[in-house]
Amino acid sequence: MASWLSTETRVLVQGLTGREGKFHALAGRDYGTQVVAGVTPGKGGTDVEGIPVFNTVHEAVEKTGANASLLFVPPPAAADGIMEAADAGVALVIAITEGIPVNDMIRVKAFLADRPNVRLVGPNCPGVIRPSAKVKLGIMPARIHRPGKVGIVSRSGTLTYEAVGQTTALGLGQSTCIGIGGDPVNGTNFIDCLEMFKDDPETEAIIMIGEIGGSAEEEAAAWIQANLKKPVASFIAGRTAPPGRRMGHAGAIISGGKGTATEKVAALRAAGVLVADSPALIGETLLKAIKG
Amino acid sequence: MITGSGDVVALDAKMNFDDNALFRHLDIKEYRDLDEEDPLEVEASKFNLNYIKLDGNVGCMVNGAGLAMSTMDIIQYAGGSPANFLDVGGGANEEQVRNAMRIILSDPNVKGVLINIFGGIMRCDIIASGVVKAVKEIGCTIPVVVRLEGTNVEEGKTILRDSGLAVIPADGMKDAAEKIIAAVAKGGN
Repeated sequence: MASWLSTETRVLVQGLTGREGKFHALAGRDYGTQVVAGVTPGKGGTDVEGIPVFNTVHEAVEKTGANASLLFVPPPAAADGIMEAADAGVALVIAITEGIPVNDMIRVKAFLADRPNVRLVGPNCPGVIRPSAKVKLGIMPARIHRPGKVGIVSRSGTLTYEAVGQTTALGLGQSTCIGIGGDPVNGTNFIDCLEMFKDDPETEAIIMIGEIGGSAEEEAAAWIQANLKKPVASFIAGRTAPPGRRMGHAGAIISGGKGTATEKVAALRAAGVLVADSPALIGETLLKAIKG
Repeated sequence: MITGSGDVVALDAKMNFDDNALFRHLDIKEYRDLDEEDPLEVEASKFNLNYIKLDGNVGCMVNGAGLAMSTMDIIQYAGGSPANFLDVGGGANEEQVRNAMRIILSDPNVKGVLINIFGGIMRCDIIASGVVKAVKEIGCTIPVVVRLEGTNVEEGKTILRDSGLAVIPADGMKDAAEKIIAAVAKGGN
């Protein structure tokens, strides 16, 4: 399995007529992405800078052959939007929206369990970009990316950009970068991304950026140790975070003494992953991992 | 607890409500007791800012939760101590940024401010003009280090340069953390 994005990716934007939807849809198109449709209920028949708008995802898919969705729908309706896209047969749904109720996401997960061919990335994420194919489904600044060999997966948006900036500066470039989002209930997890990177011929090395809360990093560490030969570097945000406080992301909380950065760093190091002590050293740490 | 007669008795209960779902449960929202919260955090929440007060002396304004946590981490790594966590979020406007700056500066422990922005959905020019307005309005005598990168970075840098304010530009997170810590140390002498 290679990257989830290719030159065949045809994107529809749910919430295209909103401020952020429009800004980032057009930025994606400028980068080279095929943005073929928008969906906003009640605005079907109009267009945004030449991108046709439809009332439903089903109609957009039927008329334009869209196979991926980029979702900017506001939180109260976002879960319905994800399920609508999945129901319309869109294979890849990338949910940017922050603030979807956990209960709604549990409904979405149950709905997607019956649709194994649909991949949801996010919510509360920056999206996915593949520089070599000039495809960008998300809100990341395209300018900082270069085609290259590092696969990046992260729970944080802006911290992903930090890692991208550092790998670009070191001349390594990126294969595919995936923000899996900061919510406790999400679609794609670290291991899904690591599995893809393992088999992706473009990816020669991997950066995994985690943060406090939950146990996704510990699970990924165990998977890496058992399955992955490619070099991996990591950084865990939140060493200075006070316990019991939600640090911006809904999922970033040390609760009952669990989910600390210390535990996660220890699990990753035990699995042979090089963990950067400073966020400014993510790129250099990866170079060390590559050199072995 | 299980009693001698085999009954199970609950001695305590803690409940968490999902903030993201409160819009559907206005009755539960009524339970919020502002007197139990830090006044600066209450003030920040009025502007939808993610602010958590800490004990250090370097105030931070950052976009994105992960980067905001990492900014605190790198301040400590560089030998300083963060005064707060503040994520201005993705869709912040100039008004929110202005208030964020005001809230950071109203913490008496703060001896310097580090602004670390890697714009994706957040545009650097919006941050820059919010900061300029806040500083001009409040007057700011402590050092401010600004690191801008990402969407509309050049526009943002131009706004800061043309403002005539004595903000210290930084190149990258490490440089930013070292500069603010050096500036705070110098101010303390």
